[in-house]
Amino acid sequence: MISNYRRLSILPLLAVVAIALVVAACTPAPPPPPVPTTPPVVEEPTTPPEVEIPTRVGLRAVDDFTLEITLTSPQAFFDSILAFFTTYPTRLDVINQFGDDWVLPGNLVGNGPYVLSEHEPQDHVTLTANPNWWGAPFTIQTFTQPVITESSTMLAAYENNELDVSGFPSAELPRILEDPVLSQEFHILPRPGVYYVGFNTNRAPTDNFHFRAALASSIDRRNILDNVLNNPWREAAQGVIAPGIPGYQGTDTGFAFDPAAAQAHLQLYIDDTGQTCTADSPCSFVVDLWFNQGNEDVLEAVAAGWTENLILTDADGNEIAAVHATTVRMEWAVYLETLDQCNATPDDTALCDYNAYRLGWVMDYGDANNIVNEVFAPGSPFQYTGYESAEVSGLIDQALTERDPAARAALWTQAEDLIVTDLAITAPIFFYDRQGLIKPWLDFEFPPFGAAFIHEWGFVEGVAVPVGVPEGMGVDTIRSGSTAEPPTLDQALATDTTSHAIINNLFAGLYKYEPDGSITPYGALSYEVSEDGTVYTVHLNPDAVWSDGTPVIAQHYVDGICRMLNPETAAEYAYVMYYILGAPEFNSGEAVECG
Amino acid sequence: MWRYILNRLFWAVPVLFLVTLVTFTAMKLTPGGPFTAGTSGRPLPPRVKAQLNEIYGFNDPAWKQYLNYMGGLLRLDFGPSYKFRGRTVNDLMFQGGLLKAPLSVSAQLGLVAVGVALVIGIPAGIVSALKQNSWLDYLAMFVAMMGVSVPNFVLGLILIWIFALTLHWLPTYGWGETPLQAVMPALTLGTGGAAFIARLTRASMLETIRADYIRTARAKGLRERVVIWRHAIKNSMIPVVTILGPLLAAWLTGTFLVEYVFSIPGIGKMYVTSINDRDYTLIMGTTVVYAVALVFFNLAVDIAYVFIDPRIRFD
Repeated sequence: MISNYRRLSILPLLAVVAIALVVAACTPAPPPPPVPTTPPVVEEPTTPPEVEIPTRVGLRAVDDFTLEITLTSPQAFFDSILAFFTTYPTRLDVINQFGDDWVLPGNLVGNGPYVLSEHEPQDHVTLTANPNWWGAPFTIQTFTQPVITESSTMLAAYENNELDVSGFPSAELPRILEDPVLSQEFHILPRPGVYYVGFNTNRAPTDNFHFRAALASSIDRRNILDNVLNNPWREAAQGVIAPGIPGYQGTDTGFAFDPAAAQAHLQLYIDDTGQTCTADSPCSFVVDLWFNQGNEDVLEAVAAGWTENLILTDADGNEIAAVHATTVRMEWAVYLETLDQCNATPDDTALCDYNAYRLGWVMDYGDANNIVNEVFAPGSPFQYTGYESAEVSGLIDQALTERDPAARAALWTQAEDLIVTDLAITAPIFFYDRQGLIKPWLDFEFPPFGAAFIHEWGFVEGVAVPVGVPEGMGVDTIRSGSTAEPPTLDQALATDTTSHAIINNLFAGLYKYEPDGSITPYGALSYEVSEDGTVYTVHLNPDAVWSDGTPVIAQHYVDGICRMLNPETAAEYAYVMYYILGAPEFNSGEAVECG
Repeated sequence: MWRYILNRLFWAVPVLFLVTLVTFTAMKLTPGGPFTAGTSGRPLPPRVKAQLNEIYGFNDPAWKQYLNYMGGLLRLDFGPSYKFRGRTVNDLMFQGGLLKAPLSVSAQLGLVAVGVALVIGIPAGIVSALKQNSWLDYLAMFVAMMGVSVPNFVLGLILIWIFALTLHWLPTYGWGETPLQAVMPALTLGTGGAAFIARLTRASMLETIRADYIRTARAKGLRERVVIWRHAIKNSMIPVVTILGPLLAAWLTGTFLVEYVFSIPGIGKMYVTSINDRDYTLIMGTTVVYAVALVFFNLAVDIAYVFIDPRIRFD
């Protein structure tokens, strides 16, 4: 008997091996022999002209309260970047003093409305009002973000009045909408971004425009939103520019759900490729759709739509051609690595064994550049379509330098038309939003980009708080659940919403986003742009001080941006600052000075 | 006995070495890596990925990475976390001291749960055995069967629904703010163990009370109470003590599901999320901690045999 129990001692080894095998099992099966492909209809990329490398990054503290940013060329969207976290100031002296521990409570020095009081990993983060806050006084004195990984537990905690703000499992949405209390506390907030399927233009049959158009036209987006996701309020997407962003076109771009048009495109594809499909010898086209775990419902519906709608029949009603969509589901890390490897070796048709893939993009800032250029420009590392188009690249280049807002929006729409209509390299499915439960006593607001500014929240007069709630709730404290531990509180490294919900309240950038998407001065008072559009001169608020009482000066902003661009920092969002003169070169480790 | 203990400790070294080697190899063979995606989940730009690979030595051959890791491990340095950049694995597992460090939190939960399991399981098993085929036996074994069959997370959610949402007696999540936070996790974790221990105790007790030496004790005229308490119970505890070794190792080093459901900042939750994150050093660190605990508790169980069963000798 004893020896039987003792066998349990090999559990750790078995567990590790089992986990590895399970994960490995999620990888796609060995690829079949390469499918012969016809060359995609693409244009050759142009060779970039040689440019002289600057000796310094275009950042300068003109004086203590004047910051000068020099760009490589006029970039009209750069106003939006002034409100992005990549421009937060940094205290190098604090980082040098404490090393990696500078982000711990007691060490971290910020210039925002709150200071870091507690950070117990995997448990909670608590911020309290910064005694040296230089802005207007505010109501919420304590902000706690407990880590509640299981969303069902978070919802239970919210219903038990242990949280003011909460997420919920999507399976609970129907109950929330029917519940007389919860339905009143359910809020839909703006969160510009798009969920889409991209097409591999290097692999048949999606290397053909008409085939891609057929696929894009046979996705019943409305049905997916209404009946699969139970999100009838959400907007179906035909373009990639989200509502509220200049250049948004609604249904004036892309392909609407139209099975007849889809079948017409399928017929054109057959004609294009010279295939003969008859009732005796019907054509069958296999489409491999890849996606990551958690998207089964939507992507299975997409695949079913392709299979059901893309059938051609002859005059007698006999089937002559049909599309058969197959789905491959992968764990996220495996999925991304496989797609990345494919992007690195696009000619390896065996490796790039997909016709369509799913991804999404939540916008970082309020300019179409963030999606049309940074995601869908030819050669972008964030898309896996393999397409090239000098026309798209040219329009993006024009849009980046165009300073007239209307003309600029028009250029983005032209680029978007090419991407989703004329080339059909992607089929957008829906636009994102932000859904959550918020207690009725909270007066809240969320900007569309980034995290909330908690010091701007308050309490609604006359709304009673139930008896027995945690101390301070409804008086001066907010508890907002988070499903994850913030990976970092270092503003140069953080890119996730969990970390930013904290960092956004510890630091104040130059400008900040308002709920309507506009930007207003925060750490700065104003800025002006040179006539040629390449030099931004930002005038800082001289009243701004750090939480230790030290004045915030222009050099701190220079230090923050330079630290982010420093290759030793390996900051994920360094590329956002590449529009600054010398920034890409400095970030590449070339002999360029910064600071 | 000391010689035996030293011998076991000596053999623990190659066991731990093997655990690190298998874990390291499995991690490296698993597709995806810590820098496949950024903290936001987006694909990392190739340049950033290259920078991170350089910074963390991922461009070195695998054997060199392993040796570097083992060099650090000998100094009890578990290395930097790749997911929580700027933090070390030592920080993540041990920071917070005796009360709040994740390893400590898991151990606290495990100890309370083991207590619950023993307090419920052993008496239930004994009563079942002594009242075999009575309604008490059937009831206890029915409850034990339920306890073994109902998954932890289901029981946890049922308890939350009853005690937090309906009765409002207990907080839903967390650890360390109030003792009330321990009630539902300890019950959730302990109930399954209690059921298992009850069944084990019953079976062992039934075997023991039919043994010759018990019959002899009764024939000598000892009172039934003395026979049961002094002779039967003590000897029927050997299987229970045997299972306690791995049980303590498993529960004291973290139980993912219970920590996950009740949002307890323990090492079990950390272990599983680190696998999803491909946080190699954190996976290694938590595995090593678990392996050390397993070796230690198994040794402790072997030593405990001597005190429970006089027939067992190490020589």
